[in-house]
Amino acid sequence: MSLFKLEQVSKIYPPYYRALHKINLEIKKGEFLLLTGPTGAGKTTLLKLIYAEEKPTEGEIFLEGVPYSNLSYKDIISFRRKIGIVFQDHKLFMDLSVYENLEVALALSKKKIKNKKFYIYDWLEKFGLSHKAKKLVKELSGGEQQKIGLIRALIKEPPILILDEPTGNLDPFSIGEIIELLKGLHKKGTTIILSTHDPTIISKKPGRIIMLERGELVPNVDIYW
Amino acid sequence: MWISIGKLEFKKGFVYYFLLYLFFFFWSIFTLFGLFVYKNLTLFNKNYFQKVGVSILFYPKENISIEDLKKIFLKFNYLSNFEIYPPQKVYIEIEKDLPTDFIKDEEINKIFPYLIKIKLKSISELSKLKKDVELIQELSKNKFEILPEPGIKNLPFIKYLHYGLIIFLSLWNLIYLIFFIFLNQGLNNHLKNQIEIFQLLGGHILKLKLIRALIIIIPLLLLWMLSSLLYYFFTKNLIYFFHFLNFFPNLNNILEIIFFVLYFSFLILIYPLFIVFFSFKKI
Repeated sequence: MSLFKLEQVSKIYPPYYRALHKINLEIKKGEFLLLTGPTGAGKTTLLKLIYAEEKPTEGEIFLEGVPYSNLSYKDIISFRRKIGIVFQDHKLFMDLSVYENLEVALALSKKKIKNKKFYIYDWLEKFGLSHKAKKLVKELSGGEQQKIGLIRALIKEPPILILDEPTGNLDPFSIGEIIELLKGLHKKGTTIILSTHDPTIISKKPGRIIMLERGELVPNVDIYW
Repeated sequence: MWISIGKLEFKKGFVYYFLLYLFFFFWSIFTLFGLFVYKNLTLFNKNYFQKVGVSILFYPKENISIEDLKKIFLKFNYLSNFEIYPPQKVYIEIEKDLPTDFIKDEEINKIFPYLIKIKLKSISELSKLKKDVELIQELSKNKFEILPEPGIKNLPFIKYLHYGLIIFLSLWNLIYLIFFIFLNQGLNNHLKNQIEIFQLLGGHILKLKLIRALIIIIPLLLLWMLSSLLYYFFTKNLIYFFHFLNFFPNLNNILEIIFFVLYFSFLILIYPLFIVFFSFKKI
């Protein structure tokens, strides 16, 4: 059974902007899906529909066979707890410290950790940011904020990762590291949905590639790479 | 998590919260003084304006002295005072309205009654007086006539005061509610991002509502206590100088206490909880 299934999904932002048009897509458990396409193609909208920030105007999305329209608010919150999301605009609590941001995410995930402080610092250390733990997020650079967004998604070790342009502000070296990290998680069984238009990542072909253009899926996309 | 989110909520929404606290503090003081003024106006009206000046006309069948009459009325302990005017004095008072030479001097005692002007301690004693006068009349066979108009006086605006209080409390509540809803809406718009992030990370909106409710209710409760203390000390001093004033709420009056508790429960608990719990947007 597929983890996510989109059937004839369209999204129209009133009054006239059609972000997605009749998308049919299946994402299997443990899959590494690379979602690409030019800016404004509808990548972010597609991800927002998957993590239920937006509702489709038409069509239906299924989570392990259950339509989203049948999910209650409580179910959706519970589902979000189990996934790690990296947002294009980071969506960090700017007025909290790095440590507090991660602490909130960890608490919300209800993951049981023996030594929470040590665990958080350990994750920060992996990205070379442990010395920034007490800094307010708004005091960090764009790249650092992006890394914190990534750590926040990874720290709860979720079975599903949804990443929207996670490398936009990063240097090529960091991008390489992140790709390797994601590949490692994928090998351990994590389902990864990554949206990017970064050719460095796409060229590495870490998984199945699908392409969106003007809100529609492009068929036989493999011929591009 | 609770502390971090609470800190963030308070820090980012400080201006809104501060405005709400400030508004509530003065609003609460003003409300307490409004109720104090209302209570004292009604009491003032009752104690000073509704003291009944009753007039009784007494037509003796037999000669009776003023002293005898005084003895009778002195027994009524519900009278604040009384005065007895003999027929001659009654005649002098109304003489100018009568045709000249209408009454001869020797006829005055036969025609005119004694006039007994009475001040009752309160309006509620009027029925007692009526009963007592009837009893005296039966026993003595003398005729007493209580003038139909007891002469109750009210403060000129007293009949509007109760409606005024209801209108005042309703409008005053409405202002409070509107201001509260307005601030809460402003707060929601200002904190829109963090409300969204919290839910996208898997946080239930109920937690944010609880945090906000606590940030509102606990300071409001403290501010209410502070405003009540200030009101208490101020009015106690006022009562010290003006003994006729009364404190609101009267701790011996269960109705006043119930009203007081209900009213402020609405302000501090029910309104905030209601507004906060129905205002957040789920995503």
